[in-house]
Amino acid sequence: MPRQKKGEVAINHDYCKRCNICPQFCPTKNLEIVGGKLVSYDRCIACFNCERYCPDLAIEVVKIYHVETTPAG
Amino acid sequence: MLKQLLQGNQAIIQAAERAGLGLFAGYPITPASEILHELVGKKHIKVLQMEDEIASINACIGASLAGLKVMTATSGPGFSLMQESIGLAHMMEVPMVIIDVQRVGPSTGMPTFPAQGDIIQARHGSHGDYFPIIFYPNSVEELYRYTFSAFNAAEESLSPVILLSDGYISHLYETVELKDYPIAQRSMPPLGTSNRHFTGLTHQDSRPVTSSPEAHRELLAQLQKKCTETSRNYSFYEYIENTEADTLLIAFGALSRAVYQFKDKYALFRPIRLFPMVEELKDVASRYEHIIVLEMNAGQYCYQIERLLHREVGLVSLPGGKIDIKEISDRLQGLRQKLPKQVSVS
Amino acid sequence: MEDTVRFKRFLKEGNLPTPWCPGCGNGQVLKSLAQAFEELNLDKHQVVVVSGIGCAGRSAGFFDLDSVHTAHGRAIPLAEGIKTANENLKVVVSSGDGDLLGIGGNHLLHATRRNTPLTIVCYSNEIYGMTGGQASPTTRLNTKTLTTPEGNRDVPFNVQAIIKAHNCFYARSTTFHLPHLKKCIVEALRHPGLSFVDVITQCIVNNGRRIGFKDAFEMLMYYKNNYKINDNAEFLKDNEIGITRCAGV
Repeated sequence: MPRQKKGEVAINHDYCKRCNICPQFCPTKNLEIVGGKLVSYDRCIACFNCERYCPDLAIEVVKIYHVETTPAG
Repeated sequence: MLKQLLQGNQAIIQAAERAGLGLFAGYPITPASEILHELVGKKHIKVLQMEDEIASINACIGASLAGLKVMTATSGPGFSLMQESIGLAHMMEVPMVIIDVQRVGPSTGMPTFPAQGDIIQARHGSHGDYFPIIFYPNSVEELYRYTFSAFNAAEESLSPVILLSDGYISHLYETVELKDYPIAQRSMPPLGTSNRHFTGLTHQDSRPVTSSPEAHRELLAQLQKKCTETSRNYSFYEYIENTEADTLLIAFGALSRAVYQFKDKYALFRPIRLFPMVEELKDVASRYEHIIVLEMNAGQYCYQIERLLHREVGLVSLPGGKIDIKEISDRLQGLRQKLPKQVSVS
Repeated sequence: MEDTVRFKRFLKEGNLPTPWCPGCGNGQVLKSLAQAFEELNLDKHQVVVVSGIGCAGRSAGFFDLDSVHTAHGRAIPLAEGIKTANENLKVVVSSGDGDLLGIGGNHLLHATRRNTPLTIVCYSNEIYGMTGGQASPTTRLNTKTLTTPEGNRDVPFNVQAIIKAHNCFYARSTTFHLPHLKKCIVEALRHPGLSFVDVITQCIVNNGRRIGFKDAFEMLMYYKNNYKINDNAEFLKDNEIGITRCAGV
């Protein structure tokens, strides 16, 4: 079973200056500059490194809470 | 009415206190130091002796923004140091009163003989364009009175107002009637009440706008309009008419006291608000064939008057701190013969 | 809203993006300041931010509270005027090393003598960035800059010694150690007298690249590897960051 993503990375492209700090801080390589634009994938573990180190307030991470369900029966 | 024998500098303090002075920041310099000395220890006035005049004027800007009426006092060398921040205060629209008790310059000059060498510095000393209101009284009584005017004009125009004095009148002792004059209150809310950004950058609605010539011109026009309109409420001058005279003498500050001696032979005009220049001078000047300006410098205000009147003006230049009636009389005599007859251009 | 972005209430988001170059550390210091205000749960009307001139001088304009952007070097005396006029305000000076230690150095000396209750946050990037990369008071020995093409021969300004000489609060951190930086600012804001937070921050465009760093991240890694936290020192060594002890407080 693939690991569930634990955070949603919201990028404000008007603020982002493509300084390439966050991709290098990301432990799961979830962020990358592609064609002059910062993109995020679905491997976020909600460590908040990108948000913390972004000098331009261009990133906000929102945690995703997964509720474990038990099959009824 | 309470009458007191006061020194010029003391008269400034008496008026500043009554006008609501809340903070004074300054650095010792003769002949302005008495203002600092005598404010120390006053209960309701905060006094900061700073490390230099740059710090002094900036502390004044800060305290003014924080809601107090503020003042600083200095002489030429310190006034030179303040110039950059005077521009800042105009740009940020900060009310304050700056006393400049002039002495001989440039540089250390002749400490501390009186002079009138800071006229152009007071008007144009900071870089860029600004439109300061400048008063220059000529007696202890007037220092008292126009200190009120300086505080009021500063509040009305939200800008630094300069009160020029000189070593003679600031150190002169005269009797002063300690009258109460109307006092203008602060119209701007103090720091800590909003989210304004005060900046020396060209700005619009407290936001820096650094690449729009239009925005800059608009801001300049606003600042000019504000100071010019305020100054209209303070059109102070003294005119001693002489219908038999063909020559009008113009003098101000300490020197004008000596020039009173010549009122039998000449008409006299004494601007008290040096800048913006009093418009009434145009009308007065048109009645006389010759105009002679007397000043204790190499001719700073003279050129301003030529520009205002569009005509040639004679100059009796008296730098170096000496006021000698005989010398002035001889110089006037000599100059009058040389001056061409002129009728003003209107 | 996540707790991590609650600090944004102290910033004017409408004024963003900042004017700083990609990778500049100033934004990280700006955020840390806002986070420290948030941690202390300050009222916006209780704080005034004052800055001088230079890249860091632009920081004041991004705070959503009354702020003053002064002439070059004059943030400290202006802040002293504010504090003297209204002691209830928390007055924070947010400016660069050239501004505070170079052109404004004399004011800093005397403010420490007076121990005026200000919190001074110094964005120390070791260069005059806005004017293109000239040597600043904190440029290290032998560093090549526009004005020191053969290497800087002047000893960097020992700001720690200056601040501690008059027994004021001194803390140092970097833009890599962001939680630590926030802690330094919080402690500085709690200090009853003058407090100074010396923030080592990266200028990649006008300094870092010239001295061999590939990008801002590499500079941050240098801070990570070079500086050790020591929060209980009398006096920090060159490779230490921390909050120094302040006698009698």
